[in-house]
Amino acid sequence: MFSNEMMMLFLKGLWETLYMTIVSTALAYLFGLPLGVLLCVTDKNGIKPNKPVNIIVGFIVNFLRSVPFLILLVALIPVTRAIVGTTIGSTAIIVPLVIGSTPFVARMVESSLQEVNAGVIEATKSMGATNFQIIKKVLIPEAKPSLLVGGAIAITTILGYSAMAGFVGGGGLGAIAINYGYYRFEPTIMYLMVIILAIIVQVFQEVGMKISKKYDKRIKNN
Amino acid sequence: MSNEAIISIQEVSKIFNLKDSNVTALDNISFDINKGEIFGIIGLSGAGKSTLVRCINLLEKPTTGKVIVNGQDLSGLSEKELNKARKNIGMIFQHFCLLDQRTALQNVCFPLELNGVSKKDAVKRARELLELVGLGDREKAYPSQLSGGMKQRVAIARALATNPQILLCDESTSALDPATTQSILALLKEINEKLGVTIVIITHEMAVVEEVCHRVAVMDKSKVMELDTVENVFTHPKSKIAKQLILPLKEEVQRLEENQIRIIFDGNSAFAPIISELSLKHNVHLNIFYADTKTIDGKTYGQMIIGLPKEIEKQELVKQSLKEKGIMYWEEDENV
Repeated sequence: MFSNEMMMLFLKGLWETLYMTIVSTALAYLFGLPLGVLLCVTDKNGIKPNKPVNIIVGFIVNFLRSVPFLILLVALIPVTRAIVGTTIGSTAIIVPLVIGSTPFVARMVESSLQEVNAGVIEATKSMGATNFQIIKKVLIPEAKPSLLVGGAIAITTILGYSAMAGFVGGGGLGAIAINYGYYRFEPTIMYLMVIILAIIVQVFQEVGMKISKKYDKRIKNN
Repeated sequence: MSNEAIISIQEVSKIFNLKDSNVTALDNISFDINKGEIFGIIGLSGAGKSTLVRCINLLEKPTTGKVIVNGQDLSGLSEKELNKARKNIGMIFQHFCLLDQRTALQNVCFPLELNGVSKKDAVKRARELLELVGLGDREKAYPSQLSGGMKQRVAIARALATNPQILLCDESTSALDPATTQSILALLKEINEKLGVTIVIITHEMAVVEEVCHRVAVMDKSKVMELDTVENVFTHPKSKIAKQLILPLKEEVQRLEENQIRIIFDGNSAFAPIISELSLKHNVHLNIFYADTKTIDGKTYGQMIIGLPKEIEKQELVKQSLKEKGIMYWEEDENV
C-alpha cells in the first residue's frame, strides 16, 4: 500500500489540499473582511448606521450561508467555468470555496469587530477621527486577537469544505479519500486521509490560537 | 480665569426617541462656561449630565438649541469641520477608554497620528505629556499592566496631546479609590493652572466639585436647577437637589428631636467655638447630631445639625445669637 506511487499520490493530495485551503482562505478574507466591516459599520449601533445597506448585505450573506456547500459546488459549475475556464482540478474548486466561505468569514469578522468596546470608539470620535480612521486604527487593530481566532476557525472550516471537492472533480486529500475509500472500497486509505486531515486541522487551530494569544495585549504576561 | 465664555450652551434640549416613548434627557439648558475655569456639573445618575457633556463636543447632537465653542456654533458644522473643532476639545471617561492593544506611549500618540503628525514629533510630544502626568517611566506598558489611576493619567495625557483649550471629564474619577481620586484631581488642577485649559467636570460626588471646581451647575430631572460659585452653592444651596447633594442623606442623621437646626459655617466662623459659646451664654444643652467641615478653595466650610432645647424661649435665644453672629442656619424640617 505504501508504494512509492502511493506516497507520491499522498504528497500531491496534501499539496493540493493546502493550496486550495490557503488560497481560498486568503481570497475569502479579501472579500469577507470588507463585507464584515460593512456589516459592522452599518449596523444600527455601528459608527455609520445604514439600515438598507445592512439589510441587503445581511440578506445576501445569510442566503449564501444557508445553501449546503455540496449543492453550491454543483450549482456554481457555470460560474467556475466562466472564471477559471475549467471545472476540474484544485484551482477550479477555489471558486466555490471562496463564494461559499466569504459570507461565513464576513459574519466572523462582523462579530469580532462588534466586540470592540463602544467607549473606545466614542473616545476616538471625540478626538475628531473620521469613520475610515476609526475602522483602520481602532476597529481592526483592537479586534486583532479575535480576528485571528476567527481566522483559525475559518481556515479549518474551509479545509473541511475542500475535502468535498473530490465529488466534483477537484483534488486533494478529500478526493483521495473519496476515490479510494468510497468508490474503490479501500477503507484503510480513507481512514488514513481522515487522520491526516484531522492533524492539519489541529495544527491550523493551535497555531492560530497561539498567534492570537501572542498578539493580545490584554493578557498581562505578554 | 476671565469672564469670557469659551463654551456657551444656548437653549439646548435633547430628546431620545425610543421605541414607544420619547425621553427628554436635556430640557432647555442655557449657561456659559468661562475661559480658564474648572466648571463642575453635578447631579445624580439619570439627571442628564453625561448627555449634556456629550453635547459640548457633539458626540450627541442636541435636538434643539446651539452649542457655541470659541465663537463657533458646533451644531451647524459639517462632519469635516466638526472633526477639526473636536481636536480643540479633549475628553476623558470613567472607564478610561484606552486602546488595549497599544502601549501607553502609543495611546498618547494616537490623536496625533489621527492628525497626521509625523511619528517622530508625535513620540516626542507623547513623552513630554507622559512626563507631565507622572508616567514617564511607564511608556512601554500596555493598559492591562497599569492601575486604574495610571490608566486615567494616560487618558489625560492622550486628551491633551492635541493641545486642546478645553478638557471634558465624564465621571473621570468615579471608578477610582479616594486616594487615587485625590491625585487625579490634583493633576487636573495643575493642568488648569499650568496650561490654562478650561476643564468641565461631570460628577455625582460633591467632594470632587468641592476639591477643584470654581463654579458648579447642579442638574436634576434634565434641568439645571442651580448655578453658582462652589462656595455659594455650598453655603447657600437654594434647590432641593443641591441640598441633597451637599448635605448628608436624611437617614444618616438621627432625627430624635423635633427641633433640629442646621448651621452652616463659612470660612470666618468655622474655627470659632460657637457651640460652647451658645451653651455657656444661654445655659442650654445643645445636642450635636452631625458635623462636617470641608475645605473649598483654601477656605474652610462646615455644617452641623444640632438639637435645640425644648423650651421655645431658649430656642429663640439661640437663634437670635446665631443671627447676631451672622451664621446661616435653617430649620431641618422645612428644607429636606
